[in-house]
Amino acid sequence: MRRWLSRRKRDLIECAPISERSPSDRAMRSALETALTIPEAAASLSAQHQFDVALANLVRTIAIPKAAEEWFVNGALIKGAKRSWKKTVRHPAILATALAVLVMAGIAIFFFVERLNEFPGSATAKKMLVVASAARRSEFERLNTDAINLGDYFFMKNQLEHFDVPMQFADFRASGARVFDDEDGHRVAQVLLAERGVQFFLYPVEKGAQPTPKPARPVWRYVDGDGWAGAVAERDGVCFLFAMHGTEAELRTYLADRLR
Amino acid sequence: MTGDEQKALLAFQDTVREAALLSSRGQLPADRLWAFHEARHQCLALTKDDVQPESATVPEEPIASDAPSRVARLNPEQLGAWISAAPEPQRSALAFFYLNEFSHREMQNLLDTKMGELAGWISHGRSQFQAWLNCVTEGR
Repeated sequence: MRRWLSRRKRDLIECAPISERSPSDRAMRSALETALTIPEAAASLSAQHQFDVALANLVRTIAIPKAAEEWFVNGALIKGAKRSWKKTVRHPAILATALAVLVMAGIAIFFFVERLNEFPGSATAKKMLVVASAARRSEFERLNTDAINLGDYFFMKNQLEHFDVPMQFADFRASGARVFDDEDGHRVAQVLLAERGVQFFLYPVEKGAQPTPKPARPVWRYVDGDGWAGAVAERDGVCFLFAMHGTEAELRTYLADRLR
Repeated sequence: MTGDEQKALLAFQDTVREAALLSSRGQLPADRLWAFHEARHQCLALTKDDVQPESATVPEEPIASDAPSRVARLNPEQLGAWISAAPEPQRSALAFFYLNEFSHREMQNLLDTKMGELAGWISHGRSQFQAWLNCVTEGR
């Protein structure tokens, strides 16, 4: 048998069932079928089978003591209890699995809700909030003008088209401005205002983002992070980010008063 | 497994007692292998203080064509004595295998072993039994 079959199949053949019934195990059936196709292996298997049958027949003739035989009169006297579903549920393995599934479902729901709040450009807006929190006045070019003039300022100085501040914020007083390239090489304009804790950002809409139809009123989308909250509106391919130090709720209240 | 009818009976009774106890508590598993597993455990517990077979090299012979007819000349006590003299866990493997009740997977489960080991115990058991058979039935 050694030379003709794989080790796994040899092992299975050594434990080949004694009864003539076809084994229910697929691996065993396959090993037996393979052995039967090789004449030498088939002869060896046949000799082994006859030997095993003879021994099993001898085992069957072993007399069972009377004291033990009496127990088999009612074979169902002692029956194993089937686990109830309540007992199954309380099993530590089931509890641990259920807990793991719950945690995974919670994480999935969390990410799903997070994703619902996302919009094209939200990742950039979040990065801008980090920039806002770290900005120092010395990094800006000093200005002293109304925000309405910034569109012309950026166009004249940096050739940035449509970098206009929305009319609702036109009366803010700009005290500093700078233009820098973000990680993706996009030009970003940052405006420091006389009002403390408020900044403007203007940056181009991400490439590949679906162009939004021009709404009658600007649609504000909110992001927060790093202790700052931001409201983003898109116009003419440029995003305007109103960044404020505080929470999203505070920003919403502030803008509701402002845009009324 | 025990090579002694009285001990076998004791192991059987202890197994039934354990089953009854677990059943009264509603803890008896509905698994037919449980009884065999428990019976083996009881047999091993009862024979652990007996003289154990030495781990010597037992002669082996290839299966002979006349083996079935020679086996037919034996009486079951001789077979029982031979199997009970085998070292553990080969003894349990041979006992389970020749009971002709279990698949190889069930035997692996009962003996908590791998396929290769189980196959080795049974294969060597056959060859060793053949060698012993040649001795006891020679000239009969």
